[in-house]
Amino acid sequence: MPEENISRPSPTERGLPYWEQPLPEDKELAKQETEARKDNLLLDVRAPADVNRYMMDPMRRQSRRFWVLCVILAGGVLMWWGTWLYQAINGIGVEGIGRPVMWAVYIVNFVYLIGIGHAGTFISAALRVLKFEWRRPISRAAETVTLFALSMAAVYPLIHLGRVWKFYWLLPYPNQRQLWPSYHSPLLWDPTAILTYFSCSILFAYISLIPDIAMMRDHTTGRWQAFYRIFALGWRGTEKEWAHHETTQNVFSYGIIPVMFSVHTIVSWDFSMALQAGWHSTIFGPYFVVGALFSGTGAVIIALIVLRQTMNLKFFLRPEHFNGMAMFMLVLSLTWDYFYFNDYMAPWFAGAPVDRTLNILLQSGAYAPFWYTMLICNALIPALTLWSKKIRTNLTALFIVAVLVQVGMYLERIIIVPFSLARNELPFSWGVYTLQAPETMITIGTFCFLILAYIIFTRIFPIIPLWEVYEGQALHGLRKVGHYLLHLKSAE
Amino acid sequence: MADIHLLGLFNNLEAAADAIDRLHKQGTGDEKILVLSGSPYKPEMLGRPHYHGKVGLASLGGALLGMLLAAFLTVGIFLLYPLIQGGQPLIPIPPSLIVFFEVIMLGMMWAAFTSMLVLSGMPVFKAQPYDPRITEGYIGVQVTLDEKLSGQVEQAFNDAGTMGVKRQALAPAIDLNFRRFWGGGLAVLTIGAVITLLFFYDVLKINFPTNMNEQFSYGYEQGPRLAAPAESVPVQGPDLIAGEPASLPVPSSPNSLQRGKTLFGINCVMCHGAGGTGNGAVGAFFNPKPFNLTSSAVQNLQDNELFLVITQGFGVMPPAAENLSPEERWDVINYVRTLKK
Repeated sequence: MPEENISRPSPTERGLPYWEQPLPEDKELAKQETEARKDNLLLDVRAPADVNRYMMDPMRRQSRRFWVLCVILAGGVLMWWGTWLYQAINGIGVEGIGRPVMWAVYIVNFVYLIGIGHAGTFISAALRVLKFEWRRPISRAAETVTLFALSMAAVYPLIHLGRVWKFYWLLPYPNQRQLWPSYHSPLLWDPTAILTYFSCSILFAYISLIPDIAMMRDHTTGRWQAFYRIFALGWRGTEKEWAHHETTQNVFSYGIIPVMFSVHTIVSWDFSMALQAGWHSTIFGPYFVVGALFSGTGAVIIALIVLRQTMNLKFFLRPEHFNGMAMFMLVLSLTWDYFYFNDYMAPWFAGAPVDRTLNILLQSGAYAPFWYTMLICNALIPALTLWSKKIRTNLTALFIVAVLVQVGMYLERIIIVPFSLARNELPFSWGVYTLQAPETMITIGTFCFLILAYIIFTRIFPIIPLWEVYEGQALHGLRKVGHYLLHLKSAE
Repeated sequence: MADIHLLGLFNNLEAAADAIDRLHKQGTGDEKILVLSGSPYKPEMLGRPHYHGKVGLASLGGALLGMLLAAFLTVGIFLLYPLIQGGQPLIPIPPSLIVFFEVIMLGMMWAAFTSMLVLSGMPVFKAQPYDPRITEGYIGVQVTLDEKLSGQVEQAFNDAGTMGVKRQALAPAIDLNFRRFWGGGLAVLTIGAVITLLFFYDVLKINFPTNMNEQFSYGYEQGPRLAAPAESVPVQGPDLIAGEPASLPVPSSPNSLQRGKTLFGINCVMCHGAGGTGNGAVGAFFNPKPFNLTSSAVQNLQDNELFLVITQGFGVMPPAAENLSPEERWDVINYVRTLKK
């Protein structure tokens, strides 16, 4: 290598750190750069020491309102546990289920929460694989939604069990009666897929957390430092550690995307493998996956907006991120429309008596309000609003749309589970499902747990992956082309 | 002389690259240099050789282990306990593929995580050369070499514009290996012991409560039988409920008996005979023979039971509900009562 040709800065005029690069001297260019920084987090370079503080300050100081909220949510969690105990003692009959509606709100919650759990992985893994740079600050908030939604989803089949203490019969191990569980049954594909997805999501989130836990370890003292020291595992950020970290993240990203698709497909197979009107459909797999991503993206948007307002994360979460997420939600809404129409059209045209009965029930019968609300929330409202960038970047409007999407998707699951079961080929066994108090209380309690765990998590671990932001900031830049500054993405 | 660690801190990439170049020139090999940073930089940016990790290979190994586990779940279990399900073969391919996919992915990702920790030498609990400013964007260049050479390394760091140099003696290596050896060994032993115990459950026979034998249970047709609720419909039909749907019984009177006798002659006599003894002209062809209405078996029946028999028929006897109104049926019953021996 010709050493002489390498210009090397001398100690006195050595290069400045990337966060101290001055604005261009030309006024026009300086103005352009200031504008670009305003819009784009990765160009708005600040000293990491300051950025660490932006993240850690809201984690340290909690308002009284936060603690009051915690107490209320903890009350909700206790209510859940108490009700669960009541249900375990008195039997599953305290629910509103009964022949023929044997699956109801617990299964609805299960499907809904698994759905919510999909967006986190999708945003952090798929957007990572596709190199969407705006994913950097939002990936962990999304992954955390996945973690807690999935843990609650995994609890629901247990709540649904009559004798919950027998759950270990799911393990591949012969029980007292010498029976092995049958892995040829959809009800065992489910725990297998959820175990894979849940454990790998935890590891995936943790892998990305390690460098940030190391940052917390470096900037705390006392007992908290000891806590972070354990979870940082002695991370120093050596080349070897980063190289292994990178490969592991790639393995997880590429591995967890098909697992994510498989999980919700298998959840849909819990339904579509049965010869039940409204369930037995070949499109259920992709239809459920799209629905899951749709509601999950909405849930992540809600979480991000709340985090931005309550934790003062305006530096990290900018209109560009909400714009990207909202566009993504619009695409998913249109895809959902397409799949739902597919799922609807074939039975409608075939016109089997039971399908016709079900359709009449939904379109002009007792369940019509639910059906129309679902269509309005899932199809009409996103299509009418999200095409506009003004609405996509207006957090209040976006929040309302995202909440309505949650309502719509929850109703969709209600229509699929208890409403479909209410009608079958034999009119003598038609039935009606009525929601009972214990189910309502358990549902509310689990959602309380989800929110409580989430807000406590955000106060213990940085909810923005700072190292990813620094990586982006160090590798992004502006390049002058003619008189214009062009956003230059990372060298990769 | 003992080896020591020297850690030079730099606040930008160029200075760190410069320091590494100077170290190379002094004859320090790449194996003695370690770069610490708060976000990932490509080693080539710092003039360092590319590092080839083995996490990918380990993931492949994990995937193979997962495949074995999946084979056990989908094939092994069904060979141990043949359970044919829903008209499928004993080992059906499509459901097995699902389990294979999930468990292979599980093995692959768990192996990636474990190998990331093992290959990076984590977790580390002993003191290492470090500075908290590394998570503030600073880049650390760590050199491990003989203490005698530390002067020239510090010189190189200073020439490159370091923000500070830290010295640290080599920590005794035993500490970590000690923990890892015993911690890991203990974990392996515990897991092994638990798994072994699980396979001897049939020998140990711990009497887990199964609940099935603890619940209240009744033998076949074991009494006492509970009385039917007051508002329930008797198995004989609604006619036995007082007053419904039959009209009120018609009291026995000469007029009623007269009507009863006439109706009996029209509807009953051909089988039961004029005297009601069961010797009617048609009844002779039946087997079993029509009932003898004068017998105590018939006469001991309640009025409403007779009413039911007339209304619904009995055995080969057809129902007379179409021919006789409820009042007429009561007339016939009154008449039948007079046939008593």
